[in-house]
Amino acid sequence: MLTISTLGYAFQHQKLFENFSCTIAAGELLHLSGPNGVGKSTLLTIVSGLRRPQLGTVAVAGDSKAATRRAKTCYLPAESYGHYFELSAWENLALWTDIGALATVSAYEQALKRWGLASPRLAKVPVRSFSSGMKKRLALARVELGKQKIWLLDEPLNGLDCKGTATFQALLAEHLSSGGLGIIVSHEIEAIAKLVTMTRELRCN
Amino acid sequence: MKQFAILLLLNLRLELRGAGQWIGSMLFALVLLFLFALSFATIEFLDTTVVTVAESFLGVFLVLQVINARLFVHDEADDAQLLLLGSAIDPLAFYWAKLFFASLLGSVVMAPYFVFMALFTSGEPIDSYVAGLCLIDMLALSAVGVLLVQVVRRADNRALLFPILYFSLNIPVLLISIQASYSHLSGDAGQSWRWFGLLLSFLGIFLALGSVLFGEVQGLE
Repeated sequence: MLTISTLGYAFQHQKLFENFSCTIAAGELLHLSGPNGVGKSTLLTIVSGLRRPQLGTVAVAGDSKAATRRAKTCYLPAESYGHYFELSAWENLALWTDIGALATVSAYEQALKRWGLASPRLAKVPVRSFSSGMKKRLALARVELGKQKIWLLDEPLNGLDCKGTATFQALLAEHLSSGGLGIIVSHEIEAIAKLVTMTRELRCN
Repeated sequence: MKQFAILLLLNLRLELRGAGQWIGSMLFALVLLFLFALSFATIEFLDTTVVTVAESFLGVFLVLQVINARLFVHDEADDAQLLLLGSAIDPLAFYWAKLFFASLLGSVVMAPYFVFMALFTSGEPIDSYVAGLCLIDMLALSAVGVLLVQVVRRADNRALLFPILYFSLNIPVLLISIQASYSHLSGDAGQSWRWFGLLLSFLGIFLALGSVLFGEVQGLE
């Protein structure tokens, strides 16, 4: 269970959001909406333990330590995916597996196949040469292979084609039905509207 | 230890993957060699040993300044560093892997310099004591360089801030190394080992600072 209590954050003396509270249980998906620049991505980075909250607390199963949140959440930023551009898709996943953040090596092929990145012609192609949609697919493959139960996804549908969107829908449904939970920020919510269990809107201050 | 090894290998692999990366470093070394070689032809009236020592430490300083400037290019291109540190990687492992990588790359770039220097000085190999000092300098300058790159990375004027801080912190190390070399080469063993001890103290301080502060300057909660 993820509990956010009276969270507040200001950037350059301007309040982004304040008093944000919610509780997300296993199997639930929170859709975070609001206009650009209101602090949705900032909120996700705070929940993931990458940024210090100025007010309030975030707790995973009652534990509010940042290290716990970093270990138990999987954060996918909107504009960067954590790839090493000079490495291939396989090498990028292998790196995350080697450091213990992903499932076993045997799961690679299945995930790469699911996301349409298993083609032999891509085996040695550096991620630098990928289109933005392919980079997003690889990032989602990493999310899929992760061990974390809490997904924090910032615009996960951006750049995905119809097939990619369908794959993401299926993946998210699997995650929620297996006891996972998540927060999603997306302006294309129609594609996953059926999976969203609650919606919160951040408003400009 | 496992994370350190994985990250060190990752850095080496990324360096070798792009030919432009290591060719750039090698070209820099060649330019350095060429300029220093020319200086030998024009300063016959000076003691060659004095120039050799000064140029060796100046070489270490310049090489590491170039290496540090692009040390995190791959890690920051797609926020891989942020996501790695934010999930599974210990900042200490990340810091030590970068430190060893910078020192290793610096040593590779400086190695041909020492070979050529030996050729220019009547075929005599460089003094092992001076070479050892260069290696310690390499570690000390990398230790503080890796930390400083991260300290100034969010600053608007980082292009100016980094060289100023880097220069200020490293001047004592370079001066101590030169004094230690002169003492050693003039046969004053006691004095040279005292300078050597002071240099090791600076190395220890820089390593401790880097190990403690690298995680802090990431801005993670």
